[in-house]
Amino acid sequence: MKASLTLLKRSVWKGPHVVPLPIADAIKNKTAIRTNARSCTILPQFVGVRFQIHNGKEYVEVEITDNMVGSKLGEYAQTRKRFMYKYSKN
Amino acid sequence: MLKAAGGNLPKNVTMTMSMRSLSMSSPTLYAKPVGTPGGKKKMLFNPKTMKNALPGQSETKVKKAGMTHLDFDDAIRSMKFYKNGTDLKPLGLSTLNPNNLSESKSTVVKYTSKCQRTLGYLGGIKKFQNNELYRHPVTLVTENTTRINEEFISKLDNSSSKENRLALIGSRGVGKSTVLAQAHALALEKFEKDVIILHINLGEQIVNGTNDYVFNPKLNKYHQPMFTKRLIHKLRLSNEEIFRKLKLSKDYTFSNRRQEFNLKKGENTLYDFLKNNKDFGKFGPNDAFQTFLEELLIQSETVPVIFSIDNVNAILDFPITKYRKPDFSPIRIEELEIGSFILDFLSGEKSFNKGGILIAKTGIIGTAEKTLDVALGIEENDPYAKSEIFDYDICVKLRENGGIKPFKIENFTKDETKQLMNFWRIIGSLPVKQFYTKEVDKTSEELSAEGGNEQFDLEIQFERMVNNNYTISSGNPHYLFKTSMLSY
Amino acid sequence: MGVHVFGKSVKHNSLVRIGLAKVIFGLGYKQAEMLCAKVGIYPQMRMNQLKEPQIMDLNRELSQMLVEGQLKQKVNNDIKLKRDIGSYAGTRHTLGLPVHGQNTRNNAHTAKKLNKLERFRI
Repeated sequence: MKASLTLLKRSVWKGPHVVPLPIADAIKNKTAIRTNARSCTILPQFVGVRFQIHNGKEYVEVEITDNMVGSKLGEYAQTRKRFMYKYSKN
Repeated sequence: MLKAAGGNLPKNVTMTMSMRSLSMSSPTLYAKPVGTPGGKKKMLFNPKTMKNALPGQSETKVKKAGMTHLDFDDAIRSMKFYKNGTDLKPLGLSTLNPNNLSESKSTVVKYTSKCQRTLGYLGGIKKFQNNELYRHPVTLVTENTTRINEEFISKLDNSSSKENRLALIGSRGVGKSTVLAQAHALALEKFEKDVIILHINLGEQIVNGTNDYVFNPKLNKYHQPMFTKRLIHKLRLSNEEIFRKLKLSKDYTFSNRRQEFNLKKGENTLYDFLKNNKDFGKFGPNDAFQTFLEELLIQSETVPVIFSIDNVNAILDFPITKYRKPDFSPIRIEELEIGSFILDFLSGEKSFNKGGILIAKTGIIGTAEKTLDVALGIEENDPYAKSEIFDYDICVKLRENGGIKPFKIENFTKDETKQLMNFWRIIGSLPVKQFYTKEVDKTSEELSAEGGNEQFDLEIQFERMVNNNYTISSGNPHYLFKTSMLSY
Repeated sequence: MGVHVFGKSVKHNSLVRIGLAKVIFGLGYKQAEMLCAKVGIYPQMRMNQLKEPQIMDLNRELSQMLVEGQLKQKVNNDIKLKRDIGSYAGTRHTLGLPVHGQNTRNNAHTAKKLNKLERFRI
């Protein structure tokens, strides 16, 4: 079971969690893939493809690099804004 | 100082000074140090004295021995309490001898001085046997002593060690180690020291990872230099007389600190070999121990050899040792040179022509493990037993060649208990009083002078104590010591 | 009093397997036992009983393992990589906040103490 140690969360027999995505089209046409599947694991085939990942409000554009393989798409689209204190008028 | 196991300490017993210093509540601690002047002294400024020390402390402080950080049982050993024991010479104790066993039955006997020294070297006189009560170690001849004499000692010179294998078993504190020591003493007396005793007094030392180990590719075994060296040293000292008599059966050459040794057959003795050969403790593969064993096997044609192990279940019940191979897999007992030597002789695979094998369990280690018990046929084999508590290989090996015969050590009989307690009473260790724990402790004369009609008879009181202690301990020596309040 | 192994001072009367595990970063009790077995040090050996060749053996084995400076460097690099690829874990490290979804309304002091871009100063 050592293979699962890299992810620590999921059994090996299940394989990575992947949703059907038009990867081949995206590579061919060099278009971005717009998706709501934040929990999709990034596979080595995704490298070089641009994704528009939903952050709950809008779609954040991310280009997948080599180092991102194995993590989830959602990790690269932040869902929360940093809190900023706004001065009131009076 | 009384051993406070059976009850509260009586207040009126005189304590020895050295023991009093052990006590935290003792009034001696509050006493003023000797030499300190009483009353307040006027302090005057004097640069000379002020520089050195305060008044009263100006004398050099004498370090006082007495206080100890040890527990009671260790303290009485390290403080040599046996020196305070009553002189046993006037009692005229007889010595432990196979010839007069029937006469000295259920009496306290002593070891001969030579025998005592040998037992000391071998580690036969053990810690926690309460030997510090007496000036020198004594022992009680019991039914077990007679039985071991009949079943083991008498067979030493007419049977091989394969046919003469005994395992001393019994509950905790019943006296297995004591019977082992008695067996050694009886053998030494019977053959007048013409007997070789190979004794390992603490079995756990082989397997618990306290000794260094090195692989010997020639034997495919692990050699333990430190342990082997100490064992050989111990055996050499204890068997010196017989080893000096035995002439070598082969020529041996070895070097020792840039000096060559050529020991000749029939001329040099086994003692020379053991004395000069430093290979036993060499950190590296060597066959010195194997050579010694081969030589012993040859010598056992003429001289009986007793091979005995105490705390044997520490080895046999835990066959997976604490040592590890370089790949971190554990080393089994069979893979150790000493361990395989033990198993070879216990199983009867190898055998001394004359001699016997005596092993003793310990009641403290491995109470849950079953390997030895199943091998001896005391317990039924459970095919579903876990590997931690039952080892199949060891069990099968121990059952080879007819197996080892169990020898159950029995508790003291009531007569034996009475004899032992009477001995304590004679040497002044066991106080016999009217009220055992109460402050009121008056002799019968004092009572009669007061006009009381209570007649206090010492003998009846002693009889009562014997009955009481025998009932509580059921004759088990360990618990007998615990229930009896003994003064050192 | 200390025995110097791998540039570190280990207490002289500690067991080798325990002393090493306590002093050397990245070496746990199990790993230390394995190291001892590999070098041929018996389990109950103490630091002051070590001989010069054994210390050299230990040093040699330790230099091939990922411990101390190298391990610290690796941890730093890993955090830095997470930051560089714009991962959520990386941003949490830079903010000094918990990475694994713990609450931040109260407490979170461990994260504030430890979570930095450069975890270890080398």
